[in-house]
Amino acid sequence: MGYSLALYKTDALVVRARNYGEADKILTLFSREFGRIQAIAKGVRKPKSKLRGGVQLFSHSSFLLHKGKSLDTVSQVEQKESFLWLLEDLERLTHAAYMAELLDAALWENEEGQEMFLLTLTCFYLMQSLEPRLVTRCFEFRLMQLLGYKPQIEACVVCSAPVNGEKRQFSSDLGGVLCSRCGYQDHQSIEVSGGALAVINQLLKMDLRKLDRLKIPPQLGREIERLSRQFLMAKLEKRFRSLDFLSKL
Amino acid sequence: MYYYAEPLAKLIEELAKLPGIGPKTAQRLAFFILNSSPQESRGLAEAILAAKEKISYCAICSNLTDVSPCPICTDSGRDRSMICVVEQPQDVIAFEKTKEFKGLYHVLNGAISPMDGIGPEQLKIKELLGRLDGVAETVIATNPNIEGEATALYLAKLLKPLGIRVTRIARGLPVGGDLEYADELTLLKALEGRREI
Repeated sequence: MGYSLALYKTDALVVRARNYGEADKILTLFSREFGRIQAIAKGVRKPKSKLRGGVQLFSHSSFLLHKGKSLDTVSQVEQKESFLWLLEDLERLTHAAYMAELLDAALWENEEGQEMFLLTLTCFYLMQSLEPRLVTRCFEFRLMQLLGYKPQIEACVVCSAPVNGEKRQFSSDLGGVLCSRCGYQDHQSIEVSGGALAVINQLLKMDLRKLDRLKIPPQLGREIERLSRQFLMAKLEKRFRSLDFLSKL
Repeated sequence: MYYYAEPLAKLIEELAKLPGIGPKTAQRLAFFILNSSPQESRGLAEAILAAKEKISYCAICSNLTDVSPCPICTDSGRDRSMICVVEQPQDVIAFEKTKEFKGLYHVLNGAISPMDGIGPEQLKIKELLGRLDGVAETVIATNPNIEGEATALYLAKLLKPLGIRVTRIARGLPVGGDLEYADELTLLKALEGRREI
């Protein structure tokens, strides 16, 4: 293996940063080209560190990494965007932390995730001007779609009959709606309104640049939030800590 | 196979529990202790026990102390209208070294971190709210990182409605640093906080 192989460049978002040792940080990076990367940034908690700026949580930076056995080492970094607006508002910060936690659970090492990367980047930018809750909902459903868990909302997941009008249930386990006849298939399924399904459909399909045009009434918002949480926990099999904090804000 | 005599093995095992100490270092430290004089090793053992038994949190500021309330809280020469809020006891020492700050401190013993599940209730925030009588200003001196900023924002939201002046320590360039290597965010903050000379 030549020396050139050991050093590589990548464009990445910092989705997790943990303190390690005296002044180091262990980072979880979401790289445009290589998916999830674990890297150590040495000495970044010291005031004179040259790397400090680019390795802050949520930073979008261009990294020069040194391949290691278990952890890669950050050799150089240049920050492209700091997403200042995420850091200066407690609600936005917690929403971004939740998104980062979702990514941490959803990403795999060395798996290219160009679309997911762009989705995250777009959502971080959208947070600047839009209601953070709306952006998070959109992120949740699109992330699930990219992971292959797109919820089936137009027809019953069991019998494929079109679901309209009467009582419908949403099953997180089966990944979609159940018609009134198949409702018994999953006892943990929750009731869902036609309005909520229409909004989910919009969140999955609409042009992200026009997301600001989507207005969700508070009650419908709460219903969708409950549904998406149950769905995410069932599919990613994880509890998300920032959610506890989010509910207290 | 015979490794170490039981007491020595136990010492190595205990030392290896310390942060940053691996089995090999633990072995070296154990042998150093064995070779030191009885007074020295007794001194070390007693220092550990004494620190563990006597040090507790100050009832007022939550700093580590051997007498509660701590000497800073009981010092009559200090300005009682000002409280500097920090994350850790080490931060109090850092501020005391400047010899500039004459007010009181409050140690939160941590910072809010949504991702690690550390919320306000795990910090000494209730204690802070309970000692605001006669306080005109709180200086929020948490670390200038995500967790520290989140804590600062939370405290500001909590304290401002009470009519207390809430200030945040300035962010800028470190003494002896190079502009060239400063990140944009720090430069931006340094520019925002510029002062006339």
